[in-house]
Amino acid sequence: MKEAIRFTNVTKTFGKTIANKNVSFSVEKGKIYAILGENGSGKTTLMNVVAGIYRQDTGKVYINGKEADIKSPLDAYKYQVGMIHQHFKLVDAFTAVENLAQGVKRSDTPEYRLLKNEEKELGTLRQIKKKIKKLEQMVANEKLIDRELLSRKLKAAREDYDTIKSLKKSERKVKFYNLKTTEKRMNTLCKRYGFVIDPRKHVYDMSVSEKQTLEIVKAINRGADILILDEPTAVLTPQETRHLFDALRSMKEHGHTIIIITHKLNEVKEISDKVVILRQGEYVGEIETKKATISQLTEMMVGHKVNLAIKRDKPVNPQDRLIVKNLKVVNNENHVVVDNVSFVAHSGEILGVAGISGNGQKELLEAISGLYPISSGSITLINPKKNKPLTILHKTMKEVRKLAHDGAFHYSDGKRVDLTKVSNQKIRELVKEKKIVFNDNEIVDLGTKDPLQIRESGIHLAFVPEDRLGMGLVGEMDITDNMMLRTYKHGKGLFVRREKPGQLADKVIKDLSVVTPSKNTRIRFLSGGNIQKVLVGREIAFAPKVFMTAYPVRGLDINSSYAIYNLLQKQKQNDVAVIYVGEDLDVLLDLCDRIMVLCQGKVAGIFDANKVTKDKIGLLMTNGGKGNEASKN
Amino acid sequence: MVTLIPLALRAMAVYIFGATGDTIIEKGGHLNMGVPGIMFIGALGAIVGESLYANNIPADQINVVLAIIVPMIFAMIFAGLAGLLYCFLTVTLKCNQNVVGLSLTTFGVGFSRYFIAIFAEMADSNIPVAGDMIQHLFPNYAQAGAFGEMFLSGSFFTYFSILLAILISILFVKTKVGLNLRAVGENPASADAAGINVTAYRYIATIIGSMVVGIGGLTYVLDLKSGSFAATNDVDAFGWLCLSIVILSAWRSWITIPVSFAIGLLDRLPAALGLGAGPLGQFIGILPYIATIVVLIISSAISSKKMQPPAGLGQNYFREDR
Repeated sequence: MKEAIRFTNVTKTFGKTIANKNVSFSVEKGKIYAILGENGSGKTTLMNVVAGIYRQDTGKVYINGKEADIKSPLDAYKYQVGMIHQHFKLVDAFTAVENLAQGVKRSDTPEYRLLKNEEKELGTLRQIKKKIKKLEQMVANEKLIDRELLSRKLKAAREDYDTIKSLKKSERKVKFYNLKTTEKRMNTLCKRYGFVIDPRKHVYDMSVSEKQTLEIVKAINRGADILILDEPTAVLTPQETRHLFDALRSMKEHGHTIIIITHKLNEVKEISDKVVILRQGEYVGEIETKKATISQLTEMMVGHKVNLAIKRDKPVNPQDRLIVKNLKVVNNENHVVVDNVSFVAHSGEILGVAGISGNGQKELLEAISGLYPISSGSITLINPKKNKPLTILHKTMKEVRKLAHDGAFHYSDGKRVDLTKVSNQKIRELVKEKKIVFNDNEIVDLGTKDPLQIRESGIHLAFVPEDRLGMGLVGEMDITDNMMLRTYKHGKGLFVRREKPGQLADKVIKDLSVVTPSKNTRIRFLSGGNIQKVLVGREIAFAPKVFMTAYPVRGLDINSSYAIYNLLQKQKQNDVAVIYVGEDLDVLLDLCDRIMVLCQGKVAGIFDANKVTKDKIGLLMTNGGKGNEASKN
Repeated sequence: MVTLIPLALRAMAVYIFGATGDTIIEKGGHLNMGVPGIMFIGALGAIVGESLYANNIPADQINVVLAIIVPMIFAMIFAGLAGLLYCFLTVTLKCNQNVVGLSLTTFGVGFSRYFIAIFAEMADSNIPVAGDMIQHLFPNYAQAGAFGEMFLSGSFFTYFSILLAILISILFVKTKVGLNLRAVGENPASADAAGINVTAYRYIATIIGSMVVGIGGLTYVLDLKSGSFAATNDVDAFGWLCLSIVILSAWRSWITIPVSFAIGLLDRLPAALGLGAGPLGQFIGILPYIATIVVLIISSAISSKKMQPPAGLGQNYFREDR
């Protein structure tokens, strides 16, 4: 067995947090390894040590048997290690080729490497010259007996000289910064491993999967022999994932060593030869994939047994809650991003939205929450209020009087409410004693409301974008302040009050087991999963009528994911209409009651989750079920 | 026209140097608000160099080439040191770029004004001689008629600035160094992962850019003000306009040539019309600034993908940042 990488007692800390503790294991050459672990188990940190992003505090890393001192990504390339990070390190304003060409040095070209290899074997030009001279002298010396052998040796040396010289010449000729040659090389690489990518395309025009492919090609172009991929499938569709795995297998056949960081067990089973498991920064063990079962892997990863089935109750008494009719949304580049979408979300039900990211999910949710302008169509909320006591938390006294005037209320004993001659004080008392109840359900046309009014009417959105912090949370503020972002308007007086948000922060931390030193820690310093918990927890805490969440488990480990799934289930039981935009089709099928498939902004179908297969949804996601007429605007 | 265009070309040279220098800096991802200060420090360097050279040599031995090169070296060293200071604070100490830039401007302007005043008192009569010698690169420009009067009467700096802007443009687009520098400015993490030394690129780009900005200060003193030290008070005004020229030219240094020329035209219009300090002259003097604002509004309304600033502009890079 040949070793590609060996870790011995690697420890890495960030301040007080220990990311890796005395990790030791080795990776076999030419195999596909999966590094498995929960969020915060130190998988990415450990791999970043090899990739030159971090430096280990103590311990050693050996690459191909030699001790490696990796101070920067550049050093990593010297050891032929390339890492594909979760956040792609591509320059958006560059084309694919330009991205490939950046930072390339003469020493990275195959010609240079060939020359150096030959020089190692035959010697440099100067050494050969010396040798030739010596041999020539010896041949000239007539006293020596074995002149035939010598002249043969001389001939060989002269041939060596010519070889090296011609190699050097061709190496000199290589224009290593030349977009044309880079493009040629890129095309050869793509052909060899079966990648499809347009070299002249700008990165800002690429899909996530294309960007990832470009990253891989980039690493191989730099001569990476050991390839590390950090959660490569987190943003891919099942079809794209299959393509990626095919490419990885073909790379393995070409002798590359591949390490995948992941927490998706089925993918581990599908692609890897061996699994290394980390838990809380420590090495737990490794196991051959063939011999491992999913439950065994989970147990090693989490440290205890986890029930992997999502318990789904039947929706209880589903009522129409949110009615979207013929919704059309146009973005600022005049592309139709949500096209004639109609659906109904029921209370007490989870409506799943499947689709490749960037197919209108974000715009749809934002249009519903009032953040994105609507071109045409209507969004109606049916606010269940019939016979519910009135609260005046979100209403001014003026509004209450107007509603009473419009006949929206009656007393709990059935009499009509007339508030014209009642004092404010009296109204407050009546409300407090729950004597005023609503006549009917409130029907709200959301198209005419602003985002704040929409939120007040009970529609809450927890959107987790790719960078997690992009929407809804402020990284530089602590948990309490982030809670306050939703409530500061309710306060009176000049100064904000921090007690209530503080209590809420404590509650969220406790209920969702957010790992944080305290509620006064800046959000930016929490791990991704914990940030997501804070976001989702905050929105749920406001007892929404409609709860929309997009990618809430993006990049989360099993435990945290299930915590979130349970939260959604709880919302469902609380008669909330949940809209869940997800990526993992298995989860969508297990968690949701109905699934709506979006493709290029259009509804490709709405299905009962019990009566549809994963493949059918996957197919609809990619071509909308209409053959290949996928025209882009 | 015959008086306006030569004047505009002289002002243009200052703008081109300033804007090209700043383009180099910004392509590397540094939003350098210190450009006015650096330009002033460059002007101070030019004055120091010119004083050392012209004051110590008899008037009839003054050589044109040396009269340009000695101050240029000083201007580049002075401005380069200012750039180094900026880099040390932002790249090594990771201070906020805006804060550092603005303080550098405040510092550079005050520091330079103080010493320029001292040097202006010490200046002797040789300096105007040297200044006059530099004025025209082609002494026989008048032979080419009105065209010569208008376009060939410029100094060495006029033509050098155009050449430099074009060369820098080619450097960005066609060479590996240019590509790498753009990568550093666009996405330092990507550049770092590709094995580009981000720190080195940022340091070198900023220092070289500052030196070019410093040449702008030199041009201001030697060419625009004909080597007169006493009247060098508004270098920073030129510096601020250079910052907006960079935006107007969409971070392409060859576009700074027409933009700088246009701003130079507006800038020198009152002088060419002989309006001096009157209210109309003052009003025309505002025009470059108003034009800048108008064009900025229009260009931000268009906002095409090709006209964007470097994506990493203004952000310090720290590899272990989470």
